[in-house]
Amino acid sequence: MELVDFLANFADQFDDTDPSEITAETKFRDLEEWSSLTGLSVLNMIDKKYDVRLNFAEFKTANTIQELYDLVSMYTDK
Amino acid sequence: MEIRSISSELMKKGRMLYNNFYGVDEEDESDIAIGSNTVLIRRKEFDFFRLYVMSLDEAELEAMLLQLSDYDYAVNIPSKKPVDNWNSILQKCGFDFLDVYSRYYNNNIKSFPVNINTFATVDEVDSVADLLYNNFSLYTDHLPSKKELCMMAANQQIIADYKDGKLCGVLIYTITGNKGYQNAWIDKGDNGIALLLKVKSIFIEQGIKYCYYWIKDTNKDVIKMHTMMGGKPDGLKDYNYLKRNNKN
Repeated sequence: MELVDFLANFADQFDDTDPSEITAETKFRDLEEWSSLTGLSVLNMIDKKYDVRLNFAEFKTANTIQELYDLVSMYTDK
Repeated sequence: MEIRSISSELMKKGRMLYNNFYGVDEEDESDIAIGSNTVLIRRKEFDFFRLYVMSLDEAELEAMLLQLSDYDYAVNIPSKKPVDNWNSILQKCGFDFLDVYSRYYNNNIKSFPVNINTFATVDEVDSVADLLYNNFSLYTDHLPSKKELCMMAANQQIIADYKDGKLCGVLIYTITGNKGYQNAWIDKGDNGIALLLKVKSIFIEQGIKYCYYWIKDTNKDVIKMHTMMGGKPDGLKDYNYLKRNNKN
């Protein structure tokens, strides 16, 4: 799993957010478009693209996209 | 006389032009008005009546509907076909169109692991009721009464979310056979998705094959969420109308 692909997949879950705003350091919950809908969409993307069904409580601990990527990596690297 | 027998007597007379009494439970607490070829049944819900109609005669039905002016009357018409005939007669008789809802189903239920494991208790029913009654429509959302909420709380059918120790969200569900129904879902905090994932987990644990829920057609974000989780409309819609009390 590559961070650059993860960022692109993450950015795909947004309709109105400029992809340039999506970087590893982005605190995604602070994005204007972030909502329950995008949250569920990101969880689904991780399930479909990386075959990882994150625990929702774990998902909530990630603040930046890098942290989320690291969390998903823990499962894909196993 | 029982409503079922009144209904079957009417059906023997000819083709029913208007009928929204399909699949409704027989209840004692109903008032019935009987015309030559029309039956109106009203049931008290909160501070209004829900109206059920069976009629073979449009003119008679129109005359009877025009007389309703003492309370607010809500009518809902579940149908897989357009309801132009209903729309026309109801609007002619002073009913306003409110909203249309679509029924969704999911026969491939999936979830994500979720830690939430709290259910509202009977003692919290007033808070649950406040949350529901102040945020949903009493006329169109078919909300459970407080009595029903008490039974649901006792049966752990109300998944609850809290913020700062205060109830801020619930997802109410029922299970009948191998079918699960999501009756109401609201969260004023930031854990709404957790409630949704929890009910899906409960359905999976209990071997539920199909789950159903109604979504207002204008509620695009909720439609997207359910679609993402595998929900599909099954074609059944619920058209809602309201006639307000003349005295208001």
